[in-house]
Amino acid sequence: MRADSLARMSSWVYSRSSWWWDRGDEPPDRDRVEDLMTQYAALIYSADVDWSAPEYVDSMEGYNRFTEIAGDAVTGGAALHPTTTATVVRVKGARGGDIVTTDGPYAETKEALTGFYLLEASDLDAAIKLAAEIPAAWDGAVEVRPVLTFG
Amino acid sequence: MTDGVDDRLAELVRDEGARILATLARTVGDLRLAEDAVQEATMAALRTWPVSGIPHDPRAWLAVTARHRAIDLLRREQRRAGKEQEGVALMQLSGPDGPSTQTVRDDQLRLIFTCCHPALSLPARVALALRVLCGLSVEQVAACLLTTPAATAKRLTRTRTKITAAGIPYRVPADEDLPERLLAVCAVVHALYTAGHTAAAGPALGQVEVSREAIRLARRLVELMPDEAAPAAVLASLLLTEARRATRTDPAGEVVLLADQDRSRWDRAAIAEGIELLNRSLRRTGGTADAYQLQAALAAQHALAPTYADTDWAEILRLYDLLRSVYPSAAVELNRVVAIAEVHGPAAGRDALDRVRMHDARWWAVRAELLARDGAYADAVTAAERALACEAAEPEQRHRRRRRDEWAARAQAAAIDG
Repeated sequence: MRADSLARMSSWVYSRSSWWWDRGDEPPDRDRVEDLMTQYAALIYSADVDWSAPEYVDSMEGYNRFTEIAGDAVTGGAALHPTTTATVVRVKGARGGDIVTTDGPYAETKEALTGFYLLEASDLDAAIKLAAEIPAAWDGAVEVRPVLTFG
Repeated sequence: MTDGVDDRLAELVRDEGARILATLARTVGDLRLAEDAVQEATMAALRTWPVSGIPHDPRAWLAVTARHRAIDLLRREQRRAGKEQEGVALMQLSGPDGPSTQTVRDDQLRLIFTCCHPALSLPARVALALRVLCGLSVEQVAACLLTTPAATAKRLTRTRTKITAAGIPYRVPADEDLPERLLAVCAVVHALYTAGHTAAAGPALGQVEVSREAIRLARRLVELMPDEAAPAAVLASLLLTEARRATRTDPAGEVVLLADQDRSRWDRAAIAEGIELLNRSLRRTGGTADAYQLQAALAAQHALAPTYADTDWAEILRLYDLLRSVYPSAAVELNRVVAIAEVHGPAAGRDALDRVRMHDARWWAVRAELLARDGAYADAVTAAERALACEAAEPEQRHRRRRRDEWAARAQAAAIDG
């Protein structure tokens, strides 16, 4: 009886907000471990370069090493062409209005958004540890943002 | 009932309230709701205890009352959200037994590390610490940080949202992360104390209340982590500085310089405790000192000097040299300049001052003093004018104005003599 009410209590606590869940108190069951993971986007800000150019083969190896280290924690991601290939799209007024495009990235900065990963981590501390293995972390910056899930 | 007793009661209620908050937050899984419930419980205690007397276990009383308030709040919230009522959860919450002392300690530490997580900005951490760890109301937090309740409420909401959305854990960090995370906590305590010690503007020189909160929080940290060097050093540095507070201003609220302070009125007990803590902290780190230990050592040097003239400025200069190597900052540079001037004379001080980049009010004030010491009164007046053009606390401004007028008079006298 008591064990059962404890379990229900736990799931209720988790459903409110996962961060309070204290994993030290009671080991959650297997399928709930999945629930406890938060998705993060690791946005990579680095020199605005063409990653496919031969001189960046070595840099790419660094990123490959990261995905090996991170393993299952990486659930998605992409490298982007340099910002010289970017087009910013705006529609005047409302939907259906004139389409206005400008050449170049949304914001002109020294370090550009050059790629991203989708990561799964148990909490921000774990996500930060993962992000610290992405080469841009020491050669630029990595912005870690929680992914919003609806429903 | 005298005011003294009321104060002690208020302290007890707030202290115990802060202790049970951490556990309640874990149980209900919502920081905001736990804050509201504990605040209502402490208000109820302040209403009823003066009449009925303090219960024999104040913490248990507060814990039970806060849990009942939390249940009420939850019910209301669930009705609003149209959710099915979780009877079991509420039953668990209303259980009669309070948390064990060990649980209360662990929960407090978890909450401290959550609220002081380095992924939160320092101002956000400071505001959250005052609200959650010190148990102040939103209005009191706003008063401490010289801002409006609306702005404070907004900042607190934003911070709580980040904690939840970004997944900042409710956990004491692992051993390998502890030193760094502990520094983030100490930075909050220190920022809190600085906010109370030196107001950047406004009618008073500092806010005693905020400083007291910082010391209270530092004490709790030392109590919770007695084997760690950093909290002991922070508390030492706070106590050694606070020991001189009463003499920093005269009865009219005017600035009294360190050289002119009545050292017999310094708080000897606080100084002794600070030195003991500093020694304990230094023994832990085997003689190598971090920024907090160095700051405490500097405060100790001043606190131990029998007179201003007897101050060991050479040692103070050595400590500032060490401090700037581990923690370079404009404030450290300026204080070092003062030490250089005391050891090597005003001209050497001015040379060092020229190498400090940030020209704020204190920079100009220090320059003015160093010029006046060499009799360059007209130049001192010019520098003092620059200092006065910047914003500062009113007593500080009045002090600078007085100094400027003294120098102006001397400059005039010299012109007549010449």
